[in-house]
Amino acid sequence: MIKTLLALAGYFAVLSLLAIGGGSTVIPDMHRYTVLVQGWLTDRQFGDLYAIARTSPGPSTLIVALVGLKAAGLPGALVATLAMCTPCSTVAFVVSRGRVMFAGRAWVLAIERGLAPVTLGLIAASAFVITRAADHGALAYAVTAATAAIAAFTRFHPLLVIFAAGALGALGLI
Amino acid sequence: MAGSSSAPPEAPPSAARLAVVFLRIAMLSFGGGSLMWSQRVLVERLGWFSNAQFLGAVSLCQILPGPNLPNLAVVVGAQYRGWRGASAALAGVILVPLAILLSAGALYLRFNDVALVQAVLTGMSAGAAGTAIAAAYKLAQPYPWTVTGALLALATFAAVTLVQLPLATVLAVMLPVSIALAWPRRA
Repeated sequence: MIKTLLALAGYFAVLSLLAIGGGSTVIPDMHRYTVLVQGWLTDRQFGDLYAIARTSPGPSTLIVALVGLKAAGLPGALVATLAMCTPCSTVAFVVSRGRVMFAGRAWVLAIERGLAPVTLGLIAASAFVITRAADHGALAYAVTAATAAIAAFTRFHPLLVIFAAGALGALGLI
Repeated sequence: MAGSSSAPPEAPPSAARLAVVFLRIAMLSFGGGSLMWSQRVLVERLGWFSNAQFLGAVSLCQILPGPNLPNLAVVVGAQYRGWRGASAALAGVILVPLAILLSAGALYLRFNDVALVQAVLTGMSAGAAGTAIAAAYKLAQPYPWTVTGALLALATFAAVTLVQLPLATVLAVMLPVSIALAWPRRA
């Protein structure tokens, strides 16, 4: 138990600082470590927990609480959340104090421009890993493709689209 | 204090007010719409920031490591009330959503072998995956793509998904390369 808590704390504290470009960029690594390396949850459970985190209010990075809950109960959830939030918030606090000094400098712009393509690659990877964990079978892939199109090209709220997909599942259609 | 020269400072919001405002944004931000709701509440409803100031704060949060909405809470909270404000705003973003999510998660772990729950979640996960794809598309679509940028993004994608390298390794290689390529050249 203590070993699991330490592993959760160590892993998510590091992940917190690797999450450049937002929380969704670390989803592939979270999947790699928690499912493939530690075996705390199955592929399917990872996809399910991601869906629960996406349909709940607040940052979807809070999926770390669910992973911690599965790995080590309530203490695991709290340790994972604290580990994920503390390091990056500390950095944000320190940097925000000095931000006026650096705004608009050439090297700041270079870092911004340099981060963008890597971040976009990571966000695409995140979508890929989530899809592969969630979908088993042609119909599931069809639903994913349809919801992607609806969410990208129409003004329906993403939440409605996810609930509609859940209803299709309840009817045994997926 | 950022932007204090251009916007006349009224009485800055208290730490408690910061917590309530960010709790409200978090509760509105279902399904990954946190940026839109932060803009609506902080700029349009409360007028704490001009749109340009808001975009500056958001791009800072995107460069910084960590999830964007909690980072935004820290940056805005710190601007008004130092570390107390940052902690209060961060607590507002996290605590109530965490309680809701843990309740949902506990129900899931209890009932995930019930056939109907499995069926619903199979559908919801397929849908959630679709919204993740749409989010990736919406971010990538307006980006001014160059051949170099596309190659960097593709290399990152392949390293993470096909080769399944740890993120730390991928970033240690890709970030220096990508930032070096974007570095201003001396004329």
